[in-house]
Amino acid sequence: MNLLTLAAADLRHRPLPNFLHLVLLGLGIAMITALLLISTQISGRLQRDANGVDLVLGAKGSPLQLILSTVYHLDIPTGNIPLDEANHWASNPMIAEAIPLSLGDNARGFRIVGTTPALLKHYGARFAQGQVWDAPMQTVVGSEVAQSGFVNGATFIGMHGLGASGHAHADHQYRVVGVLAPTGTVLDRLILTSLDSVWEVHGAHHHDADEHDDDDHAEDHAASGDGAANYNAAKEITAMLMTYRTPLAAASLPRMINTQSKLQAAVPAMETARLLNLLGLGFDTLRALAAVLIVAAALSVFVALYTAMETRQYDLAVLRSLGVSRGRVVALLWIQALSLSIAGTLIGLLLGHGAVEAMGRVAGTGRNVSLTGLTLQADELAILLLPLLVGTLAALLPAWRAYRSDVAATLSQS
Amino acid sequence: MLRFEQLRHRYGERTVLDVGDLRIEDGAQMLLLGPSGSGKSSLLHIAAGLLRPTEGRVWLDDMELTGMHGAALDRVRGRRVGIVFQRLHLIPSLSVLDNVLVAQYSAGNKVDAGVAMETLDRLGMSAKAKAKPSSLSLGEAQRVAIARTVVNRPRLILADEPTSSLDDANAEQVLRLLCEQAQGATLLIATHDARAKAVIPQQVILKAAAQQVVA
Ligand SMILES: Nc1ncnc2c1ncn2[C@@H]1O[C@H](COP(=O)(O)OP(=O)(O)OP(=O)(O)O)[C@@H](O)[C@H]1O
Ligand SMILES: [Mg+2]
Repeated sequence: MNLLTLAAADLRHRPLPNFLHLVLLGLGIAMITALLLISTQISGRLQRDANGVDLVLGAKGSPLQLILSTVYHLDIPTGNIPLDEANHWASNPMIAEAIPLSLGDNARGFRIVGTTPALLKHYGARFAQGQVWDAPMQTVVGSEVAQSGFVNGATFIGMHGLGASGHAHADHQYRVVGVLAPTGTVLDRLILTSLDSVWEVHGAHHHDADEHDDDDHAEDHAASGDGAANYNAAKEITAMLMTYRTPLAAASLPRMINTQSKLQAAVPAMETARLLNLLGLGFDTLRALAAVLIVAAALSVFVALYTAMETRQYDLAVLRSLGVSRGRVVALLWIQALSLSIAGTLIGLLLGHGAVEAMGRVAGTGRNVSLTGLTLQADELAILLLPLLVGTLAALLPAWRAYRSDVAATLSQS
Repeated sequence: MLRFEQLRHRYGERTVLDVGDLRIEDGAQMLLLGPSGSGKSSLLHIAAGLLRPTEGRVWLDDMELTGMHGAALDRVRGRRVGIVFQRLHLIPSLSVLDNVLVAQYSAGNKVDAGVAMETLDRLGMSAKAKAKPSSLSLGEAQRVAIARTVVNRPRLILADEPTSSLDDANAEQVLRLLCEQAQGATLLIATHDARAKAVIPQQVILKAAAQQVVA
């Protein structure tokens, strides 16, 4: 027998209002937790993928689309650009590193990216098995790709296009010669190969433009439609990921490229910020909704405690007549409000993590941004402070009323 | 021993209690009689340290209740005084046994289920130890309330109108149980129930107007 058992007994005695409180607070906290987890995971992922890429050179079109397609591998590319022209800009003294990318095909939904080993180095990738390609049609696969059956030594054929649809390049077989250890970046979901492989597949292959899922793709493989002969003359890539040698480059280079060439220069940092801003708008609305739920929860504890005071005042007066001090009566009410709020918060945290984990699983095999609820974040400590605030605020008025109540008058009421 | 010294109590301008000096010896069992509004309840609350008199002093044994405050006064009330209310006021969320244990806890005494069960047993209520107050008959609830009052072996037991809503049999039973369970404690029962005189002959009478004490 102590204040905790007294508080617990009273909470059990009034299950309905207490349950209502748990539901309201639990939902509010769950929403905030889920938002926190999702937004940090998305923005963390976006930042890691764009890490060190200062500028992306590609075909004209939407800059966001260019970044999404070549840095995050989410959207379809804006088109292709001549390799010569890309190399011209890459040799600018303000550029430290330039990594060419050539997109166009996929294997079971994983993008096949023609590039150079510099891309591996850029993301600090390590080999779990095998090594980098040294001939066309050899590939290195990311960890998630390997988990989907593309094991070291396996052979596969590419499908045209970047989605799961499209026709097979049946006469060109790729082989896995290396598997990367997980990097936590977009690399985990890519199949990497030499630029030559991509050119070989598309250069030797004849197909009609209507088979492409998109107009952009027609441009994508403009060379291949004309046959192998002039494909050699004008090699094309999709984009070039570039790193500045000097921060000064940011001021002049993108504008120079955009005005003086037929190419487009897009800045990942800017486009990512724009994207997060768009997402942020949605997050803010949800956050406001969660705040409303939490305030409603605080009110529900308050109402539960306060209305219970009408009948509860006799219990509390009896405790006082039995020798319990005013301070302890106040403590009892506070403990009750706090334990309700803490329970609601814990339920909310569990729900929030569970929901994010479920979303991560349903969203599937990590094609895009993979989510997990099985992590804890430092900001969640702030969430743990919430029940203290909610509980204390809710207990304030009832506690004050109990503190001031006249025991003798209460007990002689009939 | 309960002692009042030049005790007067006013609510606002109106003096409702003027008992002067009054002394109730250890182990005395007394009725506190008087018409409605004569201040019986007020006097009990003063004796319990729940109400501070506007004038005079109150002594319980060697302790001056009127000189004590806050938690110290609460502790004395918990350990030395037991109160029975007309409307029992058992705590509905607690079992019968817990209603007795809560008295031990509140007084700052050791919470001892053995002692609590013995007390319930003496009142014939040990079989219902796990029941909730709402499932008890009025007579049973009264026994539990008495168990809660006496479990700490208080020096002073105060009861305010314990019989007013009871039939003859129940009224007599409650009074007898109180006398029996007092076990040497001073017992003061405020009532205007004439039936009580048959059980407890000793009385203090408060008069409505003149507030003269007749022992
Ligand atoms: N808190 C209070 N404030 C103002 N007046 C009060 C208060 N408590 C009691 N009184 C008044 O003091 C007088 C004595 O009240 P008290 O309850 O002590 O009488 P009583 O003898 O117990 O009466 P009853 O037999 O009706 O229970 C009454 O006139 C009552 O109205
Ligand atoms: Mg009265």
